[in-house]
Amino acid sequence: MSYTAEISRNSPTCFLLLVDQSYSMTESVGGTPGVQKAAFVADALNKTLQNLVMASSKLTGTEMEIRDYFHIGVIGYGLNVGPAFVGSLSGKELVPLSEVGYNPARIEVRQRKVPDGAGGIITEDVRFPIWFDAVANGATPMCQAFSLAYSILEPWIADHPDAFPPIVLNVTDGQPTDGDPRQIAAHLRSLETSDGNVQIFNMHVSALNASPLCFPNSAQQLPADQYAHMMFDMSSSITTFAWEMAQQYYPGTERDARGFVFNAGIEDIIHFFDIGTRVKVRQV
Amino acid sequence: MRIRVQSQVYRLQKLGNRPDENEDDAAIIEPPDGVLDEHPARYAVADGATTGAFSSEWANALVHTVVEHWTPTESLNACIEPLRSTWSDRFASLNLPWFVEAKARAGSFATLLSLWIAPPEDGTTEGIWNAAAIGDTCLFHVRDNTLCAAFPITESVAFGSTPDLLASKPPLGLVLREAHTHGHWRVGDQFYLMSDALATWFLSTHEQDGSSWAEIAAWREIATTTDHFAHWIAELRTSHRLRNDDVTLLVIEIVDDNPSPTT
Repeated sequence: MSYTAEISRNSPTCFLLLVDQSYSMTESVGGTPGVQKAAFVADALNKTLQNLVMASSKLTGTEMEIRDYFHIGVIGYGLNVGPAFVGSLSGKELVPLSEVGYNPARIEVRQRKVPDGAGGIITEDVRFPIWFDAVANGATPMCQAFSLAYSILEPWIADHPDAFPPIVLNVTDGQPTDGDPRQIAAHLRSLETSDGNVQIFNMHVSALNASPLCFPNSAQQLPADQYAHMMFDMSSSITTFAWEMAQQYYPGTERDARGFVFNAGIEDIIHFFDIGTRVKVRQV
Repeated sequence: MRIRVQSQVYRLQKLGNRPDENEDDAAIIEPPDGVLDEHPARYAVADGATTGAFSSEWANALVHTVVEHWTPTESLNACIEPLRSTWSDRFASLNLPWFVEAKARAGSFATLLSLWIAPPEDGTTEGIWNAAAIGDTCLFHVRDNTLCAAFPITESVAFGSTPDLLASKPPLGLVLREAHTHGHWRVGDQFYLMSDALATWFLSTHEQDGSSWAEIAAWREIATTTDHFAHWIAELRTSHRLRNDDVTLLVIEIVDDNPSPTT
């Protein structure tokens, strides 16, 4: 139970992302008017998948290979609860990373600013692959989402009993509308490989311009908000590696911190995905 | 007196990878028959960074560029500038998948070490050597069972996980730390050039009991085939004395085919 299992092509781990697609995700991210929560989370999630593919792709000679260090799933919950990939991966619960890399639903051309090498800034076009679209419709059936996560990860763990345990990243902006998810989250965390239990990271995206609380280690740090306490209770203690990553963005993060961000602003959303998907990969 | 260089390269990929996934490379240009009379002997070793695109190709292009063009009065960075200016063109015309294009756009990265062994000074059995390095690929100069020079890293604790890297894109706003050194060689000297994993072993073993080059000599005395090298590396990895990484070792010896009779 050490979270030290090798992550390699022969021994992949799993990331399962649960994304709130309720109507309230149409609101702006707190402190950033005009940036819609659903759209920003979708961009951050697509960028995260892009980063995982880039970090796991190997290019030698004429061979271009995406190494299957990870199996990836995205579950949306709102009007419906289910797999949220769009395009040719639509309907799939978990896919190897190479299948993700080779099958974006579409590739958009976006612009970014880069230094021109002579002290100026130029705008260049970059290709931005899309696997997941912003959706905001319906209620917040978080309990159903965690139940589905359990039914996906239980057989995965049976097939990978010695793997680095799966990591579940849950992104939401509102209270669950189908009950208290603490029990089903505890049930999900109880799933284990020989290397440790399933880890759950939770992020609450705020519409308010409120101070974020990132990776707390004690319920005493939480605001007097029943909902914040619920999500704290659902979140796993982070591993040493994730703690080291968290410290890069949030100096002072305690070693026994939980994988939990409350009142996340746009930078916190990006950091959450980065910290939650950083694991030590043996590059073979 | 006929002073020659004789050299051999050994390479082995990271355990779990295929040989063609090795991102280290080495190149050699020696005078005819290795005879050091007019022209220098030139060597280079590079270690491509796994995170970049086309790292092995970049490492390969770097070592061949510097053995052909680098001279001790020049910086490595300046020497590879023509290569850098055309590097991205090689991939521009290819219809690459999005992730390959994105990685290629970010650039290719490698460490680089170059060694130049000049011919002997007139009528003597010794001469000058020069070396330049970016990153943690290392050179060790051994004479009479003594380590005369370790370059650019001199202590095993100095190795880290983020060495300086030579990028295929200009290092915007960064001052690239490029190290240069020189020394004298004599007949009988050995040079060991190696990528970082083996260099870490070399220095830490030297710091403990000084036997690193003796250990290399021990298996080279039996046979100098790549198989023996692979067997030795496997033993080091199994005993956790060597971290699992691509390994390149280039051994250079300076010999006199017709030594003067001693009286």
